Amino acid sequence: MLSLVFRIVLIVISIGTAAYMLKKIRQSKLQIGHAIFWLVFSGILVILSLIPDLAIWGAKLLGIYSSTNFIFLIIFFLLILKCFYMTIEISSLEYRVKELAQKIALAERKEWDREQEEQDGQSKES
Amino acid sequence: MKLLIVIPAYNEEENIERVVEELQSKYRQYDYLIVNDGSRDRTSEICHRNHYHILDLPINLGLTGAFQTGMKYAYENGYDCVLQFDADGQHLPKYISMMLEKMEEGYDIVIGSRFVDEKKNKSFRMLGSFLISKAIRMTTGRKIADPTSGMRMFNRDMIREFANNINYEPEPDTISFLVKQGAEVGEVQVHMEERIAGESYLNFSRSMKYMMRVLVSILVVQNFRKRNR
Repeated sequence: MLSLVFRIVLIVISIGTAAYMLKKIRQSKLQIGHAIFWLVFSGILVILSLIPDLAIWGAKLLGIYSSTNFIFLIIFFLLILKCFYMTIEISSLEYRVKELAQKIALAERKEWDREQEEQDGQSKES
Repeated sequence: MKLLIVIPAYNEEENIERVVEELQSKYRQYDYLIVNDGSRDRTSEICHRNHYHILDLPINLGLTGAFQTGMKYAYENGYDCVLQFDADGQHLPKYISMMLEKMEEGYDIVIGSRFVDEKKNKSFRMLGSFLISKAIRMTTGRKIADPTSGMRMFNRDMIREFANNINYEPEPDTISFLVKQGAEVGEVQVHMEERIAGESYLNFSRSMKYMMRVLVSILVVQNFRKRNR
């Protein structure tokens, strides 16, 4: 059984998370695409705490001892999934930053080389 | 009005030549800019060889970043309006003059819409469009018949906003946000071509993700946003 206190805590934390994300979007400090996960995550937790029968049903289905554990499982699962995708995202970001820096450096070198050649050409003429 | 056609292109080697040649031969009066979004195929090479007006992004930014680059270019170079135009040949340039006329009536955004006079067919693909239309109707009270059309024209104010702000994606949720904030959006009936070559970006799982993103954004997020003019 989900205790009333547990359900209230879940709801408060979920709404707090969602409100924080929306505030960040309002301040133009967060891209909407990145906030969607947290909004859906909060939504799921609110639904689970408003309708305890869902967790009881899920716990029975998976053969878990208590419905509280079912909710923990859901939270765990979603956070691990998010963590996994974030690892991939960070890796790709790092790679792209590296690529960008190298492209800028190579372009600058090319520019210098060209200027150098022009100067050499001019000094030979004079 | 000075118009810039912004053509974001990612791996469009099979289409870009056909699309740009048509613009260059029959629609010389309009300026255009291809934003090559870090394509890994010969898109950039083809454009440079033909001396097309192109800007190369060194890495892939996605549609939002590529389109915003075009908006920044238009803003810096004093264009009055920008047309978002697909590189795959779906959009037909013969409708541009009609959209410009509509624009001159004082709209902020004009959508090249497939469903002003014609009805949506009841396919799975159109279900998404239908749901997004409903969501926009619910939150703004306005009817946008074809919110997912990628053929959109923006005026100077919109160019400035899109060029300089975060969370201005060229997607239906931004349209919904702007409508809610008082922007005037008009629609012009157009016909679109089926994609001739290359693969569509939207497969099933991407479509689901897209729908989830756009719907949560329209129904929840956009109600809490503040507009930075």
